[in-house]
Amino acid sequence: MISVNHLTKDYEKTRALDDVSFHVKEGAFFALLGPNGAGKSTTIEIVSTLKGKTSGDVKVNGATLGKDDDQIRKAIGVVFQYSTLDDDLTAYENLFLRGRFYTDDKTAIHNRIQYLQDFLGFKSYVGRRVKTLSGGQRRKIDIARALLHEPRVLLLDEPTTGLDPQSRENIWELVLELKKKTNMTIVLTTHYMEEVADCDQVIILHEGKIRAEDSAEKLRANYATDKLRVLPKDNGLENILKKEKIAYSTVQNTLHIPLRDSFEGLDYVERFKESIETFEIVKGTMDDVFLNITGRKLSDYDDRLN
Amino acid sequence: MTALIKRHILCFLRDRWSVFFSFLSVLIILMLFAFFLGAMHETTVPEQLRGTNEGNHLIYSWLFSGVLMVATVTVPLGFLHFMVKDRATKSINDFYVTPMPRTKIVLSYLVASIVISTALGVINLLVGQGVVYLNAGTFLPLFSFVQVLALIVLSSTLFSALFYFVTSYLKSLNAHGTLSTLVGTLIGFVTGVYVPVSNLGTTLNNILAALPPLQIAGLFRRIYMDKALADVFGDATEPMTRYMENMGVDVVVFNHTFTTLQLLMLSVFWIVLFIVLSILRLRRFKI
Ligand SMILES: Nc1ncnc2c1ncn2[C@@H]1O[C@H](COP(=O)(O)OP(=O)(O)OP(=O)(O)O)[C@@H](O)[C@H]1O
Ligand SMILES: [Mg+2]
Repeated sequence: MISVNHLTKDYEKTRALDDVSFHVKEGAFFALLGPNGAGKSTTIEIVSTLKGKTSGDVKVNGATLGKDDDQIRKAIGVVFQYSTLDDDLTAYENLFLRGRFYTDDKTAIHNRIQYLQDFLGFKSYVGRRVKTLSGGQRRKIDIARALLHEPRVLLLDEPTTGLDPQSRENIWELVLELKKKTNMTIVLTTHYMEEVADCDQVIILHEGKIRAEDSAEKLRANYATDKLRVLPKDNGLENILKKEKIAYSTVQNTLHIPLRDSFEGLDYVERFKESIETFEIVKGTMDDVFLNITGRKLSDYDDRLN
Repeated sequence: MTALIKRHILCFLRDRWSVFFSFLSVLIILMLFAFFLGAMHETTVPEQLRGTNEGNHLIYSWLFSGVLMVATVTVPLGFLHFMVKDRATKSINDFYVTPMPRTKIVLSYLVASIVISTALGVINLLVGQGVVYLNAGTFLPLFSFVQVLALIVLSSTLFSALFYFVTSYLKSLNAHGTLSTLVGTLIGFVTGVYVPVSNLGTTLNNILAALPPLQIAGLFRRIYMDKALADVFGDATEPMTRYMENMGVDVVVFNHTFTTLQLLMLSVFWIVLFIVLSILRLRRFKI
């Protein structure tokens, strides 16, 4: 549905994207993960015909970027990182006027808004001015705006960033529902690891380069280590681990032992059970994936998360 | 493109402060007149006609032709705040991402500016006529009224094109705010509404007469005041000419008085100039 080949983007001073290539299958749920300045927005803006590229080529829904831009524009719906709605117009007016950019059939636009307000759940505030809406409510209207013309591809640039935890969850659930109930191709960018875990294809972007690309499951399998977390009965366990040269780390009063796989954990538990009070085997997380791939924690970059 | 124009205009009208600031210069002119300059204007009327309907007609048509003209300058500039804002906040990307042609998106702001300035100009004219009637018991003759309407369109187009070109250079709302303040302050002087142009000195007078604001103000006054001038001065050509030169009805450059036709041709020249400049600029910078 989207294919990006050797895409490079230079601004005056920075190289925002460096030889980026990826392919998004039709109907995929695709995530671009990366910290601030990774090049996520730049990618979205180039694919959505807003920014020129320095080199490389991009195809969306069979149309070539730079040649059939109008075809691309008809095929995509974009939710920008920043809201583009008009504060002083009502949600309905915002949607209706923007619907007219795609068709002259006013009844069709009206019906589409009716449908979207039920599907996304903004009926109760569709008549309110956008400036009176909460962040989460506004985000829903942003999403409705992108869906007005029933696009084949939905591009979402950090749909949940900057929202309070409750709204973040709501919006994320909405995105999952869109994924489930439509066969749209969805491409989103995010800072949040837990969102990525729901996607079927993930790219990790870091300083303009692709650092990893795979399914969320495989990335976790390859880059995230499971670990055994134990609460020891006494100091005996630490001594044994030292003697046996098993790597571990102490976190408060628990010991963390990195594992090759979960079964290795069972093996340790069996061997040391006299010295263990309780234990659990912890699956590796997407955060570990990022840490392992880039050598830094995602949260190190992220002022907005803290 | 109509939906986009509608959106621009609706955004402007819903934003009360934008509308208010677009008319701030007009309000200041009216207040100055009501509290300070009214008495001074009495003296521009020949002694025997002071306080009569004819005399008042002269004063009030002079005032409201100026007010009308000033609004067609400040409204386009105030409106174009939204163009600067859409670019500064990247809201315009939401339009670029649709299949609408870019030229239409870019031009929609110019068209909306002309439309809104004309519409508010018409309201302005009607209100002004109401006040003129209350003070002088007479309206504009129908033919002059129609001519003034045409002038409103002309002037709205000229200043929309001019500010469209100028604001295409502005990257921030702050810059636009500064420009608006500057224009709002100066417009009363450069059109000779605060102080009669003759008081500004010959050099300044010559410069201003070569620029659009005074030329357009002259056009408005010539047409709006046509009947009042005839009623007050009749055949007394010398006092009439003196009045017209002093009060900016005649636009004089180095002793040459522009005729109405010349002023009209100059306006068309300015419009074409700024539209061509805008097109050249937008082609390079894609707004
Ligand atoms: N208009 C621009 N001019 C110059 N440099 C830019 C411009 N836009 C982005 N950049 C630079 O390009 C790089 C990528 O920026 P981009 O906005 O794509 O990052 P991002 O991954 O979306 O980050 P964030 O999570 O903060 O939104 C950054 O180094 C940024 O400073
Ligand atoms: Mg971004």
